[in-house]
Amino acid sequence: MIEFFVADCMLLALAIIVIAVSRSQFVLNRAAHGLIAAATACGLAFTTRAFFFPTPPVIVLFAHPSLGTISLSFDKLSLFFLGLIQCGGIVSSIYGIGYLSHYEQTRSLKPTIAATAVLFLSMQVIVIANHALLFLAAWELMALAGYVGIVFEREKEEVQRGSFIFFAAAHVGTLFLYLMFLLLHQQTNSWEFSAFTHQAYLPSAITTIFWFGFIGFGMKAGFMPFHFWLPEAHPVAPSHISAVLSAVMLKTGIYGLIRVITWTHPIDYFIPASLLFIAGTTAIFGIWNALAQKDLKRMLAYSSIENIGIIGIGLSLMMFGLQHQQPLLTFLGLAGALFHTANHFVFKSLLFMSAGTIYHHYHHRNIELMGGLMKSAPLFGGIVLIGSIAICGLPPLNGFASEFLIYSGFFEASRSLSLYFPFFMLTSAVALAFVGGLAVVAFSKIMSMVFLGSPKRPPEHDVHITKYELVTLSALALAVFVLGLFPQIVVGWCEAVYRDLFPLSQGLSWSSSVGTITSVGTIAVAVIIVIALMMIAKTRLAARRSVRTSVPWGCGYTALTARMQYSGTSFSDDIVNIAGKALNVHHDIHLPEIPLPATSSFRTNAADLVLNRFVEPAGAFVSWLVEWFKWLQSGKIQVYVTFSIIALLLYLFLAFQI
Amino acid sequence: MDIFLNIQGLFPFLFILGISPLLVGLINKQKALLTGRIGAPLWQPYFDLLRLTRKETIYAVTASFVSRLAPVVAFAAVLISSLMLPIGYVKPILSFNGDIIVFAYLLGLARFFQILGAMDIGSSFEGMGAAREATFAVFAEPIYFFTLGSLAFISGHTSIYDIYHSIRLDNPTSLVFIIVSSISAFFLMMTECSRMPIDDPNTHLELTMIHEVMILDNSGIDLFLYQYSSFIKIMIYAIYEASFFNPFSMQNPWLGFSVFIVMLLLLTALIAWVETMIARFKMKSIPQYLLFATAIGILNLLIYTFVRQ
Repeated sequence: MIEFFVADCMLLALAIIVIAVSRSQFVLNRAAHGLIAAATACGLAFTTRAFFFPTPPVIVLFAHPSLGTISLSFDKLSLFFLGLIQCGGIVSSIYGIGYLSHYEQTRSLKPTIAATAVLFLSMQVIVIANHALLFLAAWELMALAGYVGIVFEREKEEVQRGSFIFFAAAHVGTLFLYLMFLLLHQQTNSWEFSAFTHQAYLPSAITTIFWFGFIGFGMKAGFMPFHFWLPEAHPVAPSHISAVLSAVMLKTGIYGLIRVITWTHPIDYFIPASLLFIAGTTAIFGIWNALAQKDLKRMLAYSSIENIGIIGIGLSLMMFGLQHQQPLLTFLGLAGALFHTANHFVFKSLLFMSAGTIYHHYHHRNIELMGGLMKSAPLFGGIVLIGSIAICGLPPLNGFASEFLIYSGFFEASRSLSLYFPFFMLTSAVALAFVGGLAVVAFSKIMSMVFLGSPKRPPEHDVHITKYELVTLSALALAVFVLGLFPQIVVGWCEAVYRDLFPLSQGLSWSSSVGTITSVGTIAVAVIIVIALMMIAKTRLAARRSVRTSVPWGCGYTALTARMQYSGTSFSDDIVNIAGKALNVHHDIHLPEIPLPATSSFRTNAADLVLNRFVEPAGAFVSWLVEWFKWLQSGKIQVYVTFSIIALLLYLFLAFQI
Repeated sequence: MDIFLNIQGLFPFLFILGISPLLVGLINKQKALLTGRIGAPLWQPYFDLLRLTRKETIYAVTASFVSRLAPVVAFAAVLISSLMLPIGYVKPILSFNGDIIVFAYLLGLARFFQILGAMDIGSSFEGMGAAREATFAVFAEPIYFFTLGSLAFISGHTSIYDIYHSIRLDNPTSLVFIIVSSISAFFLMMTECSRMPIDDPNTHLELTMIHEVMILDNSGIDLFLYQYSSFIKIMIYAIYEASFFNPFSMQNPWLGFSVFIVMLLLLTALIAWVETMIARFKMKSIPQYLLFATAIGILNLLIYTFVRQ
């Protein structure tokens, strides 16, 4: 079975060779993406088999006397994330053919496709690496490949800015991971992941390791306040890369966080409680910010932050469960987090890829200037509608099933844990409901502005959607339905992961929770059947009377134009204003000062609070500080050599002192 | 027991379907009497619904298939959520652990499609109504979780049927808890059902409407679905409210049912009175009003948590 995994790596290598030697952009696009899809499909075959049958042995790559064995290991948690990444590889490379086909004539596709291949190779290694050095190497490679993927339209200033912020954030995050692994090494005297589990750590070390890990992995996943790179980097990347970044790459951060939790088992109250607080804030802040945006992909990036927050809430419930030895709570938290991870992968890929198709139609991302696509492209609109319902967490689709698990976790926590848990769990449940309400507003804003109403500007051409794009989007929409109607399948997988991660807690009865999630699936099926039957009945009944079309009601005013429609900014204005300064929305209003008609203007700009108020001033401060050392940089080689000699002498002196 | 199917469970469902227009008729009649008019007959909502099914259906030229789908989804979602409500001791058709979440989210689905259906027209009126509906819904959702949700957290049950049956009014703390919860639930009901002082269902000016302006361009069978689902929604929330005070339901079904009917009638009288006496709030102050209701819920729960310790 391991051959399939080897084939995966070989095909990715072949893809890179094809990219290197190919001369035709047309062939390059199809062949290289096809190879990446084939590679990840082979990998998926391996993963599926390995997940359901006895796990394959550890693959030893290299044994070093002092560093230990560098190896790949496959436990169920790794396989879960490996499968997710491989599914991502298949859909994004097939979609990528369609997306990049628009650029075949105009720019070189080689760096982007090569970055895709390297990205998938490195992400697959990350989740199965069993050695800190291999993990960190793959982690750095992933950041590098992601950067190359983002700078596709490199002449644009926003692309340069977004990719730089991505790169800087990735490296700061990695720095904390180095510190975390050094601490782990100091505690366990090993670099191997398998040695990190079941260790007796010092309590102070646990806290430090956890927070270093949280900053490192949270920076990748996008927890507040480390989320600031997402809304800058995701919008400017080509859409299939945005989909990979948002739907797959963020999840490597979640994977890392789960690993840190299972290694260290943080046992004091403070860590899970503060994780719950951070995750809840992340969710609310993310979706509230999404509401204030006008850029379609920026909205989606903020919505990713929200979903990472929801996953984080699941993880904190898992930690509460571990702390109090409540297996059912641990399971519900873990299952909620993993299921939501899988769900977010499906609908966020769908939405980001659709955003790419929309971008190619309009050549901009401003939702205020779109509109009316539902009439010209009903199939495409329907697919995005499905994705929007799912991401709002509404039944009958998959987003609801995973949020339901998290709600069940809240109830379980308040039932099984005493003290003030009912109060805090209820507050968290209310926060999650509030996030759901805001998500409904955000996605009804996207749907309304892009697909509904009439076009704000006369369309130049029909929506052109290639067969590659259509196949991928339909497959993802189908997956949304399957996961929503049969949530017990994924919950079963999560149970396997749980039993593998925590083998000591056997002999538990899940029947109640698994039974409940089955009823959620049944309700979902019922909802769809009732809607279908009623739709048929309604159409028949309406046809028996007469059906006709007419102009919309305009209060008697008959010269309505498309520009008189409600704009997206007005749609969300009430809620955005309630948030006040927390959203950092700038209104730039110029009213005419004389009574006679004159030019006036109104602009809104919603910059990220953390980036705008904290990160950028901090960066400016560092630049200012570094200015002081500018005199060192004279440009004369003799001076530099002198510096080196002085440094060397200093070292020697210090060495002899000691 | 995951999903409980029983013949008895049909009773609450049929009760909700059949009586909900009458409930609206009762409210309207009492409002008319309070303002010194004779008013429309009690059965008027039934006639209105019947009339709508015979009318032709007109779609706006700008509308897509979403306008055709939205009323159906909204109606179906409200219908299925009404299958989860118990009346008295009768167990509803759908009852399983966690159905309070499904209930809230099904109503959310109905709202999502109603917003989309309104925005599909591309008219500013509908846009304004939809934006308001969306905004107020965000602040109404927490109230639900602070009332029924807190009961779930305290009683340890997550099914609406079990929650209502765990209510005991003999303990003074829980009595206070129930009374305060029912106040915030009443706020929720007025918001969700687009009644005064949040929304004025009888206004003539589009600019001041919320729910009515969203369905301006719906007619015939679509309007029937929207109207009927709004009637059912009032009924759902009325049952939700009336079931808070039902101490006899387990011991004596008939007495329990009578108390329930009396509570419903009192509730219609209360709605009519509030709608007559209070003018609609300014749109800007509605979120404050809803946050106030949420604050009552939080305070209530805090008191309960600390008294119990």
